[in-house]
Amino acid sequence: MTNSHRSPKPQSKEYIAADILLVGQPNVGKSVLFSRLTGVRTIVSNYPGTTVGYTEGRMRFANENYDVVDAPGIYSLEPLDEAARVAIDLIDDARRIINVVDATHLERHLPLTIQLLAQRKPVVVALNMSDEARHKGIEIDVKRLAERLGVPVIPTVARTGEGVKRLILSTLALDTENEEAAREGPERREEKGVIPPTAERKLRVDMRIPRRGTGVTGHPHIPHHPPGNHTRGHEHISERDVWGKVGEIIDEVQILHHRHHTFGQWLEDVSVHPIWGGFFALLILAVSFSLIRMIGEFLISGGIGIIGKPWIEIPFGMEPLFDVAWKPLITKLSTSLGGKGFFHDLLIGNLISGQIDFRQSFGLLTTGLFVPLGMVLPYIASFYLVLSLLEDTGYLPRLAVFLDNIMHKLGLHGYAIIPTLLGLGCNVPGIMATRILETKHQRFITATLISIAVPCAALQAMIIGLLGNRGLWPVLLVYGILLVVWVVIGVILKFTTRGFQPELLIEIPPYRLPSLRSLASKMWMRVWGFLKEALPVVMAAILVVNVLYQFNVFGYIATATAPVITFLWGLPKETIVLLLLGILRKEMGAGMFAPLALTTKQLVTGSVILSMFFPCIATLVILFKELGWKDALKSVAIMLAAVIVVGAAINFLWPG
Amino acid sequence: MAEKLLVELTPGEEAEIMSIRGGKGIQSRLHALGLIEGQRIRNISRIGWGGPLILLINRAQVAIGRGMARHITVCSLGNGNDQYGGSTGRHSGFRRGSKRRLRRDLHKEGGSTDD
Repeated sequence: MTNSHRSPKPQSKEYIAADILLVGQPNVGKSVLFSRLTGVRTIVSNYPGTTVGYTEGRMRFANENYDVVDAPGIYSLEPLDEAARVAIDLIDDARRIINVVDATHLERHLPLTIQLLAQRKPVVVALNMSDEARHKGIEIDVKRLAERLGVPVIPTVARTGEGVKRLILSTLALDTENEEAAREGPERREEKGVIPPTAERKLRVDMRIPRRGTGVTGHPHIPHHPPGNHTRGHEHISERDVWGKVGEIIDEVQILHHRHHTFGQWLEDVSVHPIWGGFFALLILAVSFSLIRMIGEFLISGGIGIIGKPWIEIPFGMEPLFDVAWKPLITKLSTSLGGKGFFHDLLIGNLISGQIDFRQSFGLLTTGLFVPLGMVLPYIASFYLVLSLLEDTGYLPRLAVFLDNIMHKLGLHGYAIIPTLLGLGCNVPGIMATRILETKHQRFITATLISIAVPCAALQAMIIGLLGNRGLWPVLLVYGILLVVWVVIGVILKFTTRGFQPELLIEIPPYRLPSLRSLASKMWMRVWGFLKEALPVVMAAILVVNVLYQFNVFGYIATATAPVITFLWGLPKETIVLLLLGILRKEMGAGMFAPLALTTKQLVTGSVILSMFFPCIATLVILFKELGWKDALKSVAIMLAAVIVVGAAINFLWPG
Repeated sequence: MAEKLLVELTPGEEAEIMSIRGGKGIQSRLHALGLIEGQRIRNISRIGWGGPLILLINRAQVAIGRGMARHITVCSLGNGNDQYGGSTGRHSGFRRGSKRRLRRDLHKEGGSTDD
């Protein structure tokens, strides 16, 4: 099964010709449908713009393989932004199109459908979320709609899989239709008196598919339409005609039944209320952070509590597991290696007062396993559980609405909070998600702020682990300083960089109960993604550090950088090793604080500097890829200037 | 029937969109969310400190920044008591009347068309 995320490539046209292309507006459930069709897991959420590039996968049906592509969500076929340009190119090359529309807001989705039909491509309309429409008292005459559009319309519920099989059959049946007729468009067909293919007739045709084979489909390289006929499909119909037609169709096929205000709608009203909505936002944020801490600590040590000492302790968690199951084994290995020597140092590390200390020994099998699995993984799991809940219920756009006024002071608008929150998990998806913002200028500011002032969950877990036992205030201080840095750099960037500042304009999706399937699959992808990325790099980092220590390479570097580190920042000169290591993996850098025996002040300074100093290599690569080298270099320069100033400021302003 | 800017609507007030000022890009983004001439909308909230307005358009909530809301002229219909706008039977919210279109076109020719 293939699954690859592609970034938009506006210039090149090397898209694969999709056998089935999913097209629709943002947040209609294209990605859910995509994973229903292909079995490929993708990240789905309840806010527009989750799919920023496009995703391709393979569907196997009746012994045939079909390439399925999930296009980024677009509102219209006007090539106004990058997502739309990508989608238009994909549409040009696609063999069949499934147009996914939201049954609860048909009037807003039909314009795209009508534009698509004008492209004269074989189209099936998937009337998605039809369960929600029923629930909300929206009745749609599917048969009439199909007649009016001249293409099959299949009601679906992608979340549960309802109607998906019919959708597949109808879509595959498109090939068996005369392609010429499909390309002529519905109007011409209606004029000619050709009966529009109804779903029932489609189903009969479908039964023949396996026997007939799919001549064209099996060979992706055979052009599916004559070259002369390929006019890049930019068939323009005026917008007024589109809206007029939509109005007519809606009047004809949609009946609204009055429904009483549900609890969900009441909650939707409350959460955008000028006053109560603000309180609600604070409440949600407080609950979210408490939950992350509670679940994280529980997974680490079995303690239940939010601040200070845990209220209840249960013998559970990664820490007890390491102590009970792993320590005896490792101690045996240590003894059999003789307690010292090259291999002992590499695998076990230094013994702290004759004992193995998972936090400080710094061997491959001790700290190398304990940091990613025992300290970071629990927080990764708990962070992503809470974030996924916020995403799937649809709360995030509401948060964006309330932060819009503040974000404007940073040259951004409220929607920039979504990439920023994702960055709190891992900077890489955060920076990738800046694509949901409209302008290059916004993307630059948001990505720069994420890479400098937003610590990833792995680093946060380490900071909490290291500073937590010195009280709550040092932890809060680190977060507070980073927040100030985030705001100050944002304000400075707003006034020093030129660029148009667009306004917030978003649709706020209805609240939905998160589906367990989506939640579980998202959690699994993110946690597994962390393990896959982090474990090898952490291991390699420890290996490199241990080897380099043997040759005293760090001694030279430390002496060379001592003026900045010691004089400006007030940290021991060895800190540079940790900062450099942090470029590989932030949590590994933070792991090296443990053996240094720092004061609280030094630990706070160090944590802030480590957060701000060069983002980890993965983030750096994405930063260059997303911003281009010019802007990325600018962003790095800003980072270096900021980290020197902030480190010095903490050192000199903090008495003692 | 008072004409005013969208940004001046108070929470609870209903209105019909008369005209939208702005370039093709802005027009098309607004249209995509249902902000189109002749559409009935309802203001349900206005976030303080220069925050956005929340509108109810065809049963969907849409957040719009105040700067953008200044480009839209509406015709106030007063404080409606119909909580979820446009739920009176087979009412789609569209007016295909030619009067409004005419007025929009006049407005377009007269005023600035780009921002």
